Amino acid sequence: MALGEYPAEYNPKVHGPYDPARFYGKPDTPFGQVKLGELGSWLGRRSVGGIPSAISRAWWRWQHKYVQPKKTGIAPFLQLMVGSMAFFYMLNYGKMVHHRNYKHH
Amino acid sequence: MMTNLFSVFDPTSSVLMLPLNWMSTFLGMMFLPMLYWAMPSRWSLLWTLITSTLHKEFKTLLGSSHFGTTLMFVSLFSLIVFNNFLGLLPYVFTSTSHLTMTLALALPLWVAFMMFGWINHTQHMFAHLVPQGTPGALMPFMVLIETISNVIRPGTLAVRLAANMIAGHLLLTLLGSTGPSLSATLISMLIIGQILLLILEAAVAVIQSYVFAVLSTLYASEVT
Repeated sequence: MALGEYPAEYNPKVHGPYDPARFYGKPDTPFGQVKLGELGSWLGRRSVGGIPSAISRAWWRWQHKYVQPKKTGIAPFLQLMVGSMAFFYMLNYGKMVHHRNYKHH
Repeated sequence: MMTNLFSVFDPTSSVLMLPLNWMSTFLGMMFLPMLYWAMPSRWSLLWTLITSTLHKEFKTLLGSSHFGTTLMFVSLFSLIVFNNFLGLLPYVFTSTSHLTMTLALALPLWVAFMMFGWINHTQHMFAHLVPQGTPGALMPFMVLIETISNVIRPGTLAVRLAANMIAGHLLLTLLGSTGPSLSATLISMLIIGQILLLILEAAVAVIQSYVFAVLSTLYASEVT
């Protein structure tokens, strides 16, 4: 599946309008219901190439919940700001630890 | 290891020493509204309001015969405003405080305008070098002065933005670094001062991006 294309399993006649937050492949047991013994086979059925699509579906789930509704508040804006602060904190952590004034950060 | 005062402007992250901090340039894209439903959400209404006001402003500057040229300047404005504003958040990198970034925005714009103007409207460009109403004796000097002011334009555009961003951040960092050695009353005054400076910086962030966009629009309108 290339960038910008529909997933292979999507069929407009069956599924209706495309929803980027929905997974159109074969349904599998949700992670919360997987037994410990089945964990190895469950993980085996996942693929590394599916990670970008998973991230995209998670982004759209967040969008549907917080941004797309007609009457939203400031919450998504603040969530994005806190998220970006956390991300760049992680990125720069090693540099910060050696800073002269670190104990006051 | 002692880091210097300017370490907040260092794009090197601690992940394998790669300059990953430059990714903050694209952070603004996450804040842009994505249209999914036919009825716009509040966020996209707000964003459409801001951008349509800007479009109207730039259209008056450019003249009505150049419909569509405003798109580039409004997107330039949004890139710069998001970068400036997000740089104020702790730990987020300000990419517009680097001359490499601002020059990369200003220089191609200016070179493109100059090349277009001089190749296609050569006489028009020569005429622009002498302002209206100049006494005859002053004309050679005016041409010289106008040429110099034209040539330094990309430099001024770039340096204005970078210097404003650096100055704001540096002031906040300097004041903050005096914190550990202060008494309790002075610290409360310092915090109030820092909050006021932060509000100022937020305003400067928006204003500077506006200035950048407006000036590039003006330079474009002079050429056409």
